[in-house]
Amino acid sequence: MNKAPTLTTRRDRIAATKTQRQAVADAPRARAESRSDIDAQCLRWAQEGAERIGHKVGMVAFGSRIDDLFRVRPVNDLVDLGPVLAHLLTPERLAAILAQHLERHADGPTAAERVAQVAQMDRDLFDLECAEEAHIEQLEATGLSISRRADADPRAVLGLPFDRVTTAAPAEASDPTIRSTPHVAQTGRVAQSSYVANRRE
Amino acid sequence: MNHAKFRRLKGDLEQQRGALRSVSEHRRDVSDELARLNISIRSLYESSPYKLDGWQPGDDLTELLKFPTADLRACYLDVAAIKHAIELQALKNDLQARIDALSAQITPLAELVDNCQRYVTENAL
Repeated sequence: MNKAPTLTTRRDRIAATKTQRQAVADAPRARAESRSDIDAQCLRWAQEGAERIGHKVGMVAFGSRIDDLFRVRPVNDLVDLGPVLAHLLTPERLAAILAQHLERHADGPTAAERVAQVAQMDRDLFDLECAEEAHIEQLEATGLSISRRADADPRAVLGLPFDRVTTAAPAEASDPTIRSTPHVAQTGRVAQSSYVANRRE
Repeated sequence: MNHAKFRRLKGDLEQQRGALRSVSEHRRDVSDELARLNISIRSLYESSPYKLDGWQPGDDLTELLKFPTADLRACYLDVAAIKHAIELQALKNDLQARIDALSAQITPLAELVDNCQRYVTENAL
């Protein structure tokens, strides 16, 4: 026989869903996508390396010293070895060497899968929060005084729809960990709920 | 949007803050009275020629009630004043517990109302 969920049960499910959502948002990228990025970067380096070394070797023909061939002048205290390595090793070989390190990390969802999973969890979370709010209102109607969660979704509390187009910035206290992933844009990770993302549009 | 509900939440918050202010003021008054009484008891005791064995100012006042009344009187101590001070201390503790409980209720409600207000304001609802 199914028992009706208690408010505590509902809140436990909300907390668990938030944890799952965070786990998906923080999961490593799909290995294939990382490998694709490495392959593309090695090709760009190889092309750049071929141009640089080709130019230097060409200058030898006009009297430049051959022992200067691999001497580089740092730009902003940096020497980028990528182009030289990719040209000399071949981009395929360099990419294969670098890709070995990906094996140490778990495989994760693709960017599209991550977006879809997080979007579904945001929807589920919103439904759970609306059910929690309805439960609180039922209890209040019987005369009980119920404390709401500080991080309850304002849309659920105020009776607003999930898909409302919003412009506001998110409430930082509600999900501080999600907001602290600055590499999101580069990796394609979904680091914010659609609630948060909508509010930032 | 449920404006009536939002108004009610804000009203609840103001009501709880008002209750907290009221209890805090009561606690402050009790604390002041207790401090005055403690000073009085201490002052009388220190001015007396006799001292109680095993008790000194700053120790638990309830321990005083274990001494014979005659001994307390010899030390210029009044049983009624001691009992009143003990009652005030208990009341102060009770008020502090109510303050803690109210604060624990107010903090999440204030945060929620603040989040809702920000949402409403930033979305021009």
